[in-house]
Amino acid sequence: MIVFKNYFNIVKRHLGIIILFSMISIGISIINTSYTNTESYESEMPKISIINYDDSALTNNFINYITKKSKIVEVEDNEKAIQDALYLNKVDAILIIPVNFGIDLLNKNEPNLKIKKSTQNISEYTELLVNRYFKIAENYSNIGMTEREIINKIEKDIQNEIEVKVLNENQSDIEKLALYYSFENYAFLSIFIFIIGTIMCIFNNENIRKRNNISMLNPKSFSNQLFLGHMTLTLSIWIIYILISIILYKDIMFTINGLLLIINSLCFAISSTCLAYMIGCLIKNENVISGVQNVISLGLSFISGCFVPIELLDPNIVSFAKIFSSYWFIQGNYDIVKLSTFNFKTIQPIIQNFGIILIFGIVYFSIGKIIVSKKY
Amino acid sequence: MFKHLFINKMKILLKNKTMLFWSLIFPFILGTFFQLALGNVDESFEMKVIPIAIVDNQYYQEDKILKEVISGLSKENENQLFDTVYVSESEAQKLLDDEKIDGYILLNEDNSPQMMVKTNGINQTIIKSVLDEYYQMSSATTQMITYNPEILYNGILETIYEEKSYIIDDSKENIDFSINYFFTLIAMTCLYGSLIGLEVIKDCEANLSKKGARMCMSPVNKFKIILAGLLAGYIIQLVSLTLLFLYLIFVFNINLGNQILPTVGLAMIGCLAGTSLGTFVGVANRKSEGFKIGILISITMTCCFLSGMMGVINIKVFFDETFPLLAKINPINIITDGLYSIFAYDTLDVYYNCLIRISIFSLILIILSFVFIRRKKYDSI
Repeated sequence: MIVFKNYFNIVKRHLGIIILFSMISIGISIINTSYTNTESYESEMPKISIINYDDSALTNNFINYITKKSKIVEVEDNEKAIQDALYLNKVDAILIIPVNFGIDLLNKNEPNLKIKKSTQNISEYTELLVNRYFKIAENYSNIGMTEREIINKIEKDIQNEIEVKVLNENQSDIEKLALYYSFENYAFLSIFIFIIGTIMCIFNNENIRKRNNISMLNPKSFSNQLFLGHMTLTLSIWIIYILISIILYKDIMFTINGLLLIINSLCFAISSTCLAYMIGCLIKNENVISGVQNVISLGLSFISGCFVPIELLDPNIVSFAKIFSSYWFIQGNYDIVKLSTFNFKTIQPIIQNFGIILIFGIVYFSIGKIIVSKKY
Repeated sequence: MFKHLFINKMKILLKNKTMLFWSLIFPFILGTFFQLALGNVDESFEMKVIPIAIVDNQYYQEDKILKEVISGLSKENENQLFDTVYVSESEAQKLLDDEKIDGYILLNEDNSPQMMVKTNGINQTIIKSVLDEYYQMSSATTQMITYNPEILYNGILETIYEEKSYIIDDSKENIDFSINYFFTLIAMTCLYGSLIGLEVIKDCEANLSKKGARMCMSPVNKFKIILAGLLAGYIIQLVSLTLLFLYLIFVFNINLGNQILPTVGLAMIGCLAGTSLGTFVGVANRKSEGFKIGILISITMTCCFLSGMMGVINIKVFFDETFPLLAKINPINIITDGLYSIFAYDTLDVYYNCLIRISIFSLILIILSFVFIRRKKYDSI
């Protein structure tokens, strides 16, 4: 196992940059997961800011109502702050209530409040809430009710709400976990291509290759030991990634969903190692590695649903993404976290997904082998 | 002599494939990926018809008004909100399990409605909101009739179900966060000028390359060599950036604002920041070229991540708010914010602030680089 041993001597020499790259990628995954909002029924309320110039009882009651129905965000009353808040998605909509709005509504002066909204769907929901409240208020006013009466009646009306039963209660955390695992796509591709590419470049160096060729070592054994080295290294990084997920999400990781996520991730780690091996077989110049690493890891992350949710992508792009294992891996993660009943019928598609990812790995590995045999 | 050095350096740099890849090809590839990934975003945010199921039981059949409301909202026209199927409870549950519907509605014996959803999300919120509206308006109607029974005859009751808006949309031109990806891309291209800076320094420093050692022996002022090299690299970087701008504006029709002069000014200083970063990393340590390239790319990509390039909006907000100092010195963030301010604000005060910060960033690195370069004298290499 001289090649295998030597492999880790080279790794030792590059340990600094390997640790740096791995830390950056894993760090990015953790930060990314921790500070991304996942949808939950409670949190799927619009983030609203209210700039109120009116002091009527009706308007104040409306503000109380909207506060219960949304997350209120404080935004300074100036154009720049409003623009920033909308751009950075701190708020979905900003409501500006003009002076005397309440009185004007009751006096049938047809007042309007202003809305500044983002492009997200949820800002439309804000409009629904506003219009509903004031439509009821205006109708009450039309039949002669006083402001106080209107407020009392509306309070009663808005208590009529449909009861919602959510079947998957723990969804927010489990979706975060899916996000964490999906980010492996960027982290693994980035780290594996860099490390394997760098090491393959050293072994592919003409002088070293010629020296190896005349050695007693069987080329097949040489190649297998090299690949074993890659696998050992990448699976060690995979274990670190899994351990972090167990520390962060221990409640979910010890469930069947967690187990399936780990298996899916293992399949992807193997497939990514094979992809990195294939790329390593093609690269001769060490300076090219960073370029290939970034193009492939960022490119596949953008088109496979790792950085941008798959439902936002163009259907043609999604079809194109299907020819890479990244797509099947990310899709697999989201399918796994949606599972609530476990039987052969529900798990079968997930197992098929594992198979697809591994087949990709075999294809990448075979192409790598063909390249090596043609080249040398 | 300066002209000679400048032209030769330009030729050398233009033959350096690695450097050209990072400054010229990589931003184009990444820009294309952004466009591929984000080209459909606007369409995705448009309201889509929501698939729901109604449990078609006796209680639903008895609620004539709800039946009418649901069928009205499910009619195939431009205002269609729901794609409704009427099924038994077990079938509805199966459809929900198979994710064929976003939720189903069940009316119970006491006419109390229930909505079953598998997961949470905006579609579920909209279904709930529509049903809430129905029940709240029904309650309002009942209260109105109780308060004044005459309304049953004078037509007021009919107005309650008429659509009416109390809102004026005062939103500015759609500035959504997806433009931030392209701003970070431009900033990233500026910062990749660091690789050119590194390349220039490598060929001028005696301890970094054989060529550098030879250059140091030549009877030419060292600063003149470095200055000519950096100027050549800077010009290549500016050309790359101009091509990127043209590519984004004319090929992908991306609106980057119409204030050309401030944009060009920021881009020029941004490129200077990149070149000075590369120069600094080049002279500040004696590691291999590969290591230095790795460091520069890691710095650039990390700064890009912190500025929100990798898909997550909240990351930029989080870092801007939690680590304001880090956000203020992150060169990618400074350039991104500067480009955004040109695009979004009517005044240029935020822009000038960004311009000053990126200039200070460049200046500090240039001064530090010169300190390192000046100190070096070799008895033997």
